[in-house]
Amino acid sequence: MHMFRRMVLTEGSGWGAVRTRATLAVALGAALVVAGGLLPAAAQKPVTIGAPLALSGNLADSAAHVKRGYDLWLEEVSARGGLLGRPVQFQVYDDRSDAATAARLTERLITSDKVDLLLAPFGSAGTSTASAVSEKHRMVMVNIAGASESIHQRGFKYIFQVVTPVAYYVEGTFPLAAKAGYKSLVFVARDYAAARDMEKAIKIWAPQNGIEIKMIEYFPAATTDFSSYIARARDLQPDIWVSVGYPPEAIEMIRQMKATNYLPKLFVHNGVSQEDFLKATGKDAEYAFGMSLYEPSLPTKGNADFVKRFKAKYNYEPGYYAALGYAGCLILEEAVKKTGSLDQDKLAATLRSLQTETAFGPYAVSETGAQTAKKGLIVQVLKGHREIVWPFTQKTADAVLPMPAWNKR
Amino acid sequence: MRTLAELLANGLLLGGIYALMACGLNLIFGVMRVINFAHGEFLAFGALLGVSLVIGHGVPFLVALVLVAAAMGVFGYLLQAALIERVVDGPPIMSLLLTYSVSTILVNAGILIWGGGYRGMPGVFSGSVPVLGMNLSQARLVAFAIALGLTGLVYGFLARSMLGKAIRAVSELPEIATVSGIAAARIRYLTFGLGGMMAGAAGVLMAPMFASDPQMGARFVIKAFTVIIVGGMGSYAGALVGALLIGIVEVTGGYVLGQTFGTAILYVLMIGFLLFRPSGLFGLRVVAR
Repeated sequence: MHMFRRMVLTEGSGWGAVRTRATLAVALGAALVVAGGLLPAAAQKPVTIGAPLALSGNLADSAAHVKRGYDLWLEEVSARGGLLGRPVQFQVYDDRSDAATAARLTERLITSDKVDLLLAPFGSAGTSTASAVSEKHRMVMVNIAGASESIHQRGFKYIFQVVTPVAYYVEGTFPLAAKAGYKSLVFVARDYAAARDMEKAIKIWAPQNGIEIKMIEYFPAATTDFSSYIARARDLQPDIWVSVGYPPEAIEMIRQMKATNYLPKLFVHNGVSQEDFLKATGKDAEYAFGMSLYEPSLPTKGNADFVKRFKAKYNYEPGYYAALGYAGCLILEEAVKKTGSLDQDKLAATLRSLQTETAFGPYAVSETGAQTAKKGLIVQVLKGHREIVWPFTQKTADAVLPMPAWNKR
Repeated sequence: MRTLAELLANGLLLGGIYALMACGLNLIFGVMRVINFAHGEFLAFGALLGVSLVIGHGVPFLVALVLVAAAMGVFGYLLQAALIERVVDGPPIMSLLLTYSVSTILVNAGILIWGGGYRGMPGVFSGSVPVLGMNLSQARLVAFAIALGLTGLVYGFLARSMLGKAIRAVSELPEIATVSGIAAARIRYLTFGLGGMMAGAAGVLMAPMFASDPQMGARFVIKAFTVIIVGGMGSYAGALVGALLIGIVEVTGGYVLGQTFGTAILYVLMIGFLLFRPSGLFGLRVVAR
């Protein structure tokens, strides 16, 4: 508890510093404007955006990128004159990567801090619990990074998804496989909700593309040895190996495939699109396919500019977590501007019908607020970089298939 | 048939590394009846220090192994002297809670030092070696040889040297050892240092085959506990045999029995031993003290 209080205080004081500077600017601005005889827009009460976020705990590393996306947007929106002519401020609380805490903090943001707008916490679990609270209070919540489909299968009316639903991560594997004439796959996944969503999607897309599913297996969390799955695949000889899970599993699969001299024609894992995979496997990463949502090279609206400014501020290229945080704010901004007020019911109606594009990609949602426009990307590691190989219209390189055997590199 | 032989061999090799990890844990338990919950974090620190040295500073792998093992040994020695020694004679729950909190602190210290991401040793022993038509992992072969060598060395030290005999004396009859003039406290520092060294070395050996991160301890320490329950609490030889068995079961289980049951077999084995042979294969008879 003590720790928690300290975290909140630390965080609060960070924003406090921003506020102090903002107040100074406001005072200065007000003096000028009053002198000019106009109503000072900036002197109005700020629009507060509440955001529970994993500032500590096991999701903190990923969520830190999201927060940088928020911060960059805050700078930009302030330069644009804020929202509805009012300045903007964030109220961020640390949910310690815990879904129950995220829900509790959402309650506090709504009832005690009386924030004007809400962003969801990081990840599916927190988004699921926090959105139940915001729904109860009829507050709009922008679902930044909750990719699980179940969040939008509860008939909620105030939650809107920016991230691609998890099943669609794998979609691009099939056109690539069809182009190469591949006929069979195995699916080896970590046993979690996202993978079950993906299994359903594979069972629809594989037969449509004339691909036989030779094995579907789930491994429990904390699995580190994949020898028996690799041995089964060696017997079954599938063209494609599809996996979904966490980055260490992608690292261990590739290392163990190399160590036993096995490789399918196409290996695809969502973990491949994380920077950690490239760093941890080095040259062995080459030719592996990754499911990705965003790459700095993506030719989406405003992306080149976003990458440039993000890199200038933080000294590294944004990944999809940063892009998601930034895009979520932009979508909220556009919806508020279009609505012309902070009325939550009107805002929900706007977000339901809004069709737009950000650096992250297009935005459009279904009746239940599930993302329908933003597709996944398939990337391949080529010469040490992730190149987009699908969608074909956005590709930065042609896929190299089959992946060359270990002894032919 | 070839596939199965290959799996058996790879499992045996993996077991060798588990042996190094579990023998350290069991040594500590044998001498002071302390279950070291932070053992997995020693392993993680070993792996991450190894990665920092080999990848970050270009230190040769074997040199890094020696340096990290020594550093983790000193760390273990100091940890025992500064903290754990204070609760060694208390009820077991005290040392359990203490090592558990040390583990939590180490995980978070690791995240502060290295970040929460995953690291590896690209290009270090990453290929396969053909042996009798089987494809064996280079990293596992190297790790197996070094791990068994080190485990054997420590065993020899315990069996032959004066200090080793003193450790065994404190393990078996602490009161008699003390009246015979053995400085039991210092022996305990040394034992914890030895355990820390073995975990640190195991961490470096694992870095080329598994993803390393500050939370990796949790993924492996459960296997070390399984090993010592099967092999026998407090028995050095038991931990060795148990580890080889667990390595083989983990790698071949899913292939032979189907993945669903195969992944559970490790824990079925553990529960089976707890129910029907709680002293394990070679364990000390557990006597309430």
